[in-house]
Parts: sequence; C-alpha cells; structure tokens
Amino acid sequence: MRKNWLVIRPQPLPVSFRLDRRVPVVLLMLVLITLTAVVLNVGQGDYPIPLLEVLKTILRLPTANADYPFVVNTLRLPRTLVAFGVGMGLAISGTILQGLTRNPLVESGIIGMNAGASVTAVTLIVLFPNVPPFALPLSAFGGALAVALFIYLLAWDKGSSPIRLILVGVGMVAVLNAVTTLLLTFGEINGVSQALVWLAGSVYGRSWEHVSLLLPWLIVFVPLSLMLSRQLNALNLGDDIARGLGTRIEWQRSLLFLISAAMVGASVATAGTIGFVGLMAPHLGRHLVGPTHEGLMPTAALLGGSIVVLADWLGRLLFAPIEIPCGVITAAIGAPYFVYLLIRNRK
Amino acid sequence: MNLPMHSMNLLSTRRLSLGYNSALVITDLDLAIPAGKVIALVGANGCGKSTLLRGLARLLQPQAGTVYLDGAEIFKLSTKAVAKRLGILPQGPVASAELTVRDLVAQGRYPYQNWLQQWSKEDERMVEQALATTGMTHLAERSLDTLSGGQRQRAWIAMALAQDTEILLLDEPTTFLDLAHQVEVLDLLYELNQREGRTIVMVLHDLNQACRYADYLVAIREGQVYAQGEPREVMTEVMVREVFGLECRIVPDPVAGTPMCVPIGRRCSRLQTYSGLQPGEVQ
Repeated sequence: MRKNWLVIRPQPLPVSFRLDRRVPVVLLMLVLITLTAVVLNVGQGDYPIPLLEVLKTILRLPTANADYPFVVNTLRLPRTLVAFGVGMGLAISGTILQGLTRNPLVESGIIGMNAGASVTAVTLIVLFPNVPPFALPLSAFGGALAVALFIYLLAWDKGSSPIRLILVGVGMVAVLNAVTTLLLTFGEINGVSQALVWLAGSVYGRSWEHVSLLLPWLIVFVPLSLMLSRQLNALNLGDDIARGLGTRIEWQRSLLFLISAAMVGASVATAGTIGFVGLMAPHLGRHLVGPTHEGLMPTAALLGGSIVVLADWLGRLLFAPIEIPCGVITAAIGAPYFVYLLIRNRK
Repeated sequence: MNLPMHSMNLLSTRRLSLGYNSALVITDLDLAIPAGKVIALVGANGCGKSTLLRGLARLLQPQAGTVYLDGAEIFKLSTKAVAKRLGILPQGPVASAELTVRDLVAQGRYPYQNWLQQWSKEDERMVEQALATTGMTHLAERSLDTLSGGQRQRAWIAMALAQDTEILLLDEPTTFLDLAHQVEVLDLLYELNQREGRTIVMVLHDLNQACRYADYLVAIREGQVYAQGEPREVMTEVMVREVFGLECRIVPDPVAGTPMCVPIGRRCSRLQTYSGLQPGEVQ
C-alpha cells in the first residue's frame, strides 16, 4: 500500500510531524526556481549583466566590472527582494482567506482588502506627508483589517455562497477606489504624485529601506501562519466540524484574519496593489502538494514570491526600455485565470 | 476501548433551551442519554431534533439550561477535552475536493495533537484502525471527489472514529444515500456500538430504520420530548399521529420483528381488504 505521508518522529524526543511526501521535493524545486528568477531579474535591465556575474556580485566575489556591485546590490537586488517578499505576503494572505472562507475564488484583492489598505495608506501619504515611513504599513494594515472585519460582518453567513462574498468584495473595491480617487483629486500635488507612483503596483525604485520596512512583518507573520496551518485545516472543514474537533474557532479565525490583513497591509504599503497573486499561488500550490495547509502554506508562499519576481522581470523585458509595473503583469495573467475559475466553479 | 461504567448517563440536559437569535427551537428540555446504547432522535421537520443534537455537541450555546457531560457542565470544560470524549458529524459535511480520505481521517486526531506532537504513533494507529473499521483502507489514498456518496459518508464516519470518543453524535448520517448505502452505514454504526460499546446518538428521518437500529427512541415534538424509551414502547400509532401528523398502522417488521410504520396516505385502495376499514373512516 502506498502512503503519501512523510513521517518525522525522532525517537527520544516527544516530537512528531507529518508532511505530504511531495512537499520537500516541491519546496526544493521552488527554491531553485526562486533563485533563478532572482538572478534573471537582477541581470535584466538597461545595463544587462551576465547571470554568472550576477551570482558573483551577490555573493560578493570579485567581478569583471567595477560597476556591477552598485547596479546589483544597490539598485536591483533590493527591488527583487521586495518583489519576493510582497508576493510571499500576498500568497499567504490568499491561502488563509481561501482556507477560512472555503471559497476558491477569494483573495485579498477581490474582497477589497488591498483597496482598503490603499485608502488608508494614500490618506497618510496625501494628508500627512511628514509621518515616519514605518507608519505606512501600519496604516495599510489598519485599512486591510477594517475591510476584512466589514466583509466578515456583512457577507459571512453559514453556507454563504462563494459568489455573494465576491459581489460584496466588488462593491467594496469600487467604493474604496472612489475614495482613493477623491483623495488624489483634492490632495496636495507632491503627496499625490508620490502616491500615484506607489499605487501602480510596482516595485520600481524600491531600496534597502523598503526591504527593512517589509522584513519585520514577514519575520513575525510568516512563521505564525505556518504555526496555524493545522488550525486552518480544521476550520476548512466547516464551523461545526472544527468546533467538534476542539478548535476555539472564533479566536483562531480572528488570529488568521489578522495575519492575512497584516500580510496585505505590509505588501500593499511596500509595493502598492498587486492583484491576483493571492488567488493564483494557493491554486497552483494545491495542484502541487494537495490541500493540507502544513505543506500548502510554504509552497504557496514560495510560489507567490517567485510569481511577483518573474512578473517584475517580464514587465521590464517585454517592452524594454519601457517598464510595465509588475501589478499589470499579474493582473494580465490573473484576471483570465479568475474568470476560468469562476466558470469552472459554477458547475 | 475502556468505558468508565460509573455513570449510566454520560450526556444529559436540564431545562435546556436552544435557539437561533431570539427564536427558541428547544424549550426546557430534560433528557438523559443512556450510555452504551444506540439512540435515535426522531420527529417532524423543524421539530428541533438537529438543533438538540448540536446543543448536545456544544456547537450551540444554550439560551437557558445546561448540557452535562459526565456530570460536568459541558461549556465549562475545555473544548479540546470535550472533543476527546464526544465526536459530532453534522449533516452534509463538506471538505476540499482534493483532500484524500487518509488526510480527512487524520483530521480526527486534532484534539490529541499540539505544536510538537503532530503525528504520534497513537495517531497513526487510530487512523489505520478507523480506516479498517469503515472498510476504507483500500480507498485511503483516493481524493474525496472520486468517491461515491456512500464511500464519502464512510470516510467522514472514519474521521469521527479516529477522534476515539465514547460518544458519537450524527445528524442524519444516511441522507443523500441510496437504500443499500443507508443500510450499510447503519450496520456499521450498529457494529461500532456492539463491538466497542460506543454510545451513538443519531438523528434519523426513517422511523423504521430508527426502530430497527436504535435501542432507545426519543420522539421530539415542538421542541419538547414527546416520548422516549424502547422502540416498541414509543412507536405507536398515536405517537406518529401526534408527532408527525400522519395516520399509520404499526406492524411488526417482517425481517427484524421491530415495530414498522406503514403510513396511510390518501391513496390506500387496499386499506379495506387490509384492515377491514373504509378509507373514509381514517382521518
């Protein structure tokens, strides 16, 4: 009999784990894909750098050209790392939301959390231009959380149809985007131009400062999301079963929503609204490692990270020297994917 | 499985009122679930039997009154501790379609796990045992969407079994199954009770199946216990009229000898020859 589980149970220790057998292989492959994507993205640009030289520069080995360290380490590497971190955050958020709502069509952008994060962040940029940079992710977090709470109160009902949640989300996005437009129209010109660059959903011009703003959020919330995978498995079976299994569902669901909002807030505050990553990553992940969240969560995270890095790379490659924001690329791929899922899900 | 025999009533309620928002569905209900028996809750649609089952499983906070598990108020016990003693299978549960049977059954071990111990030898043993008991071992690697309705229901029952509880509550475990699969699921539950002494409380729609499989019948009407006891005491023509609003004849089940309800509808042309009654004489 074939067993699909890999069991880790070191004898003398009171510790035991279980993973889908596919997970380690898939994760290893995704790490390799991610590294390739990072190197590709760093090499790409007006000033192309051979891939081997990119690797050497990142590893601080002597390089053929004295300009490489500046181009790579100061300009392109932080931007690529931001892309990866943002993609990871959005993917984790999407995995949590799909698990909680048991709705394969949901992600933070579709239910309006991205738009909520933008509104509060734009408000901050336009109305209070002098706040310190770390306030931006905090306010975006607040916006995403407020939308999550609102959606929860408005559209959450036992057996609530997947379409209802999405329709409420579409409404939220429309209203929140209108508020953002209002702020941009009446805001002071310097703040507005700064907000516009940022809103496009791009990692253009992101520096080590942005990396250091994003990093603390990832360090706290990525491990937390991994730790709550088991609870997410139980909640995914529905409220009654989860409660019957001994989950404290209100508390654990709130915590998971909080993680989701934090990841959205940090991502949107760093790179604007990059849509559909949270939709695609968990879907692809389920195909690769199945729906159990212990394996799905890290798989989707790596997938999300590499999707955004590759989108950034494509955006700069396709119509070079014109640069297309990576948010446009993810939308161009993600929107048809969403429609496909919508049609398949109607059956 | 070792059952503590000090208590004959593991699960009981006192003046229990349950409802949703302000509408009460169950009012002032006193009930004691006899240990080690198969208990069937029967009643008309909307009488509150499913609500009662959810209340017994602490899925629904009482509006008034208390549910006791082994003499302790169930809502004062830690929910994980309750989950080790009492399993619940709600009606029509849904899981991710790609989930395999083994993955689903393993979820039943949740109350025994923590951050460090996520898959102990005991967990593994109980999952294998639950798969074997339900005859699902050969389907363990299949994903749920490739199974028939009966197989899927057996997978859910296996999950509840892996939870290793003395009490198993099931809400209409046979709905959406064809007759052969209904009998298969009920036989399985009966065997679990006989072999392992588990207390099984289930909501059943089919009165004849309830009479055949249950040791103890609880008839619910308008949120109250109308009658309770052994099927041959509870199952009367008066009870069916009062609880279901249906005229019927009670005859012995030709196979099991348990009471069997034969409804009298409007189309009863053979009634005259059958019982010597004119159709018009029956209300």
